[in-house]
Amino acid sequence: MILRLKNIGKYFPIRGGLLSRVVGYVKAVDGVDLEVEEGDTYAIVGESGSGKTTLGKLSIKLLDPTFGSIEFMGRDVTFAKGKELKDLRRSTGIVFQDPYRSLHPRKKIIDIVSEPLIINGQDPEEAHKIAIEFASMVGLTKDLLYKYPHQLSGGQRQRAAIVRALIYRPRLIVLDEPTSALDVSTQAQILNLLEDLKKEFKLTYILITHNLQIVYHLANKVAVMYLGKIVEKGPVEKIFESPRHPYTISLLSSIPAIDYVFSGGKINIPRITPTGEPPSPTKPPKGCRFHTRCPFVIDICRREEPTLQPVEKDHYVACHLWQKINA
Amino acid sequence: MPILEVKNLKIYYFTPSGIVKAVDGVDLYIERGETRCIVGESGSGKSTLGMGIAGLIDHPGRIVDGEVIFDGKIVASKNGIYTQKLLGRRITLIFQDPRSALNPVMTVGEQISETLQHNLGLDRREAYKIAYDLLRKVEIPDPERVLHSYPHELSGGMAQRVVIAIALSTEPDLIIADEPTSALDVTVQAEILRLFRSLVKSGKRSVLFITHDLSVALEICDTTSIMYAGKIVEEGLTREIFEKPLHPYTQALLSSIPRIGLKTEKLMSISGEPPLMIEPPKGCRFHPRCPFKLEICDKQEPILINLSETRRVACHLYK
Amino acid sequence: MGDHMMMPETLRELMRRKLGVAGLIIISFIIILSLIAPLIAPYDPLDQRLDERLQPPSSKHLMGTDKLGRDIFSRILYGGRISLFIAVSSVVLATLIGMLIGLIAGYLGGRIDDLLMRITDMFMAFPSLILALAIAAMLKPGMFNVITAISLSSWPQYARMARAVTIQVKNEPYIEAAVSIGASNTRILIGHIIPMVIPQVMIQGMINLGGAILTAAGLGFLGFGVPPPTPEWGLMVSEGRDLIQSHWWISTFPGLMIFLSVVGFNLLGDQLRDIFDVRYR
Repeated sequence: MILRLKNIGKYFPIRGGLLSRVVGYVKAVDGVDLEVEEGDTYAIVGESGSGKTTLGKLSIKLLDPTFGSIEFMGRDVTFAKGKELKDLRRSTGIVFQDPYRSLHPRKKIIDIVSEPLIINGQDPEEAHKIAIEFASMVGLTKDLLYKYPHQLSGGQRQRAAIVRALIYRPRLIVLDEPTSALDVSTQAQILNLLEDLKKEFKLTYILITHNLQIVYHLANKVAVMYLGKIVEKGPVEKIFESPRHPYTISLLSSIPAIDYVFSGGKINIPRITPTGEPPSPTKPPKGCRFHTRCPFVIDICRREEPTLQPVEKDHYVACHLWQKINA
Repeated sequence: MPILEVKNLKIYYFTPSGIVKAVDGVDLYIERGETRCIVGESGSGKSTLGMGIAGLIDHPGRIVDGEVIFDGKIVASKNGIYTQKLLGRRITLIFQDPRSALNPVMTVGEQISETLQHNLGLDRREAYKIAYDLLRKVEIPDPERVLHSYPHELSGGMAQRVVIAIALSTEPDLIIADEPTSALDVTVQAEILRLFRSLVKSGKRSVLFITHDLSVALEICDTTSIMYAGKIVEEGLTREIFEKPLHPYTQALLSSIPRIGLKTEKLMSISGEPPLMIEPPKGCRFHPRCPFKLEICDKQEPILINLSETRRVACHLYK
Repeated sequence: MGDHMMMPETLRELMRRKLGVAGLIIISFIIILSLIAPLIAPYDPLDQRLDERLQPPSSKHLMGTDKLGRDIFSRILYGGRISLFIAVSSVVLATLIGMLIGLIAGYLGGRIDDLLMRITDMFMAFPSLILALAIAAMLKPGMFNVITAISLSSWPQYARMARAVTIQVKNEPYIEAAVSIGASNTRILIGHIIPMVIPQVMIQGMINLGGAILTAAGLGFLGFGVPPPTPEWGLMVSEGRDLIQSHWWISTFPGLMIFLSVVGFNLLGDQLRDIFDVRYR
């Protein structure tokens, strides 16, 4: 196991009033367990406010958890500092959603992508040489490396961001919506590239996305998040073939051009449209957090919060009614 | 007679670094009651086209050729723009970011009723009543509360519903919607699309729906025009395009939508990058990225030819 | 964004604006004159010729002479060096102080931020000329003390600006990316945040150069500036003050130079601000 998150949570304080006192918390992630095996592409799916990005950042300690623990390659790194933290940084990487904002606007691409090596004491000339090598692997020509980010297209910038995350050969990379800021035609290029790199470098991915089609293509495991909690998780095939949580089903039924997308014929899903909009994560509903939008809601859902139950091996769902909902 | 005709429209931006030919010779016909999608990637000129039809091109942009004919009258050409009186009444607009379309210091009720008072000459009480009905029509659960809310108190989806309500309020002939669901979450997008379909398609209203997402087009549009580098490269019934895309660009767009239940090793992708519109490629603008490039493609620009009553394509492969 | 890759673009933009060109011409004119002062000045600026006191402008003394018989034209040329030097050094010093404080406050946040910003507010509560006067009065007259007084009275605005930029940049994904690759705080501050802060503060400094010249002249005029016999413009105006009715040229020419340089820097500064405002939109 490369990564294990145990009952992890992150609360962001909301300050208000004259003295900017803490008046409440955004419970972005509120008690999540996640186990990622070496070689997985573990997708975390959810809508805005689900806490998926926060969970991604927690898993490589870009944020410190409010509670819970992080175990990376068998070592507890929840409170890692100094050399231990540096080692963790060396073995992990992240690619952000918006390639327009994740590259320093005043640095040349070559300096941006070789910085991880330089931080680790590599001599700049050597680092640049390695950068050029890696860049050609992701399809960035040498001349592009000597330009500034604003002179590159979105796809090219995202390739540069990938080089930066990859260059010291980490074990685990968090991909935070890696293609959602890109055009469709570029999106496919980047997804294919990520797939190739995974094989080449024996990587493990945590893929954060709202796009279930991408999940199906890239991931082998998926966790569906809603308002800071995982509501369903398991192998991708299982979740797509027999989703149990009403929220998972409604995510699947919300895919545009659904008939075309599912025209492979293997999968048939029932259609559920959730009503209304996700509530704010500052005040999640009592009981099951999805009950305000769930078409199957019964009394117990409003009172008691369901816990993750095994449906079968590796497939878990948090719903009072999962035995009745059978896709 | 179509409600909207666009003839050989050219909109160029005169920037310090050169002339950006954002829209470069577009013909478009929209019948009454038709919902037409314009699908293209960023930089294809799709939004400029929408703005051009609404007569909202700002400096340094300019219509350099062609005309926009609305309901039989020329409303925009290089000689002038006459859409002011139509906008907000017979032509309404919906944008990607609903909050930027709403006035932050006015309640929703004030905004809708102001539009109604101004455009339909209603008095305040009548206007509020209609506003209430409109909000119910766009399926806002508690219209009374929303009427007295300010835009920042609404979620993105709710705000977009309000914008749709305003856009529908004057019973327009044409609604121009530019990526109205792109900023929304998937489940919310599905809801808004469903709403759009049911509301807009009733009646003889026409819609020009601009999107980068071909799947969204299939959800709501009868007909679709695919734009690439300032030109329309293919059009037809949306269903037809999904069943049998003709232009290599459309084919590539379609096959880059990942499908579920069909595990393929690789997604088909278009190589290279979209061209810079300051110096678009000679001949067919797609030829540098086209897997089926012929001898003629970099020399002669293909024109849109009719293959059937509904189907048109601009590609040398079809002759 | 005034870094190397944007500089030619900025200059080209400036050349398209009439007022900007005017400012540029005035400033270049003054700078060149000051630089070549030893070559073109007809007299030593300190040379007193009591037999040629209070001469009106003539072909021999282009701008006349003062009550000690010094050639005003020569003094103005050399005075340009003094005024420009004071203005530029005080702005540089003030931006450095401001940037340091703003960076620390913005990056560390919390109590340190509160404390530093309250100190900044205290300094900002006084009009800067009054403050400069008070500081200059405490120190001994002299060029370096003038520079100190002006920079101590003008750093708060740079501190605020540097703090604002720092806070904004600190939250950008590219900083988070730097954290993710293991960059230390020092590295992030020096390598990632400062390069974003410097150009903005520099532009603000450019805009304020006119003000600094005026403050320097004001201090000189009131006798808190550079001590005589140094040819400083403000001091020269003051020296002709009681003779203004009978011998107008003694105060008028240095006054005119102060006016010209302030106008020049303001024109330039305003245009620069416009150019960058547009670009930040």
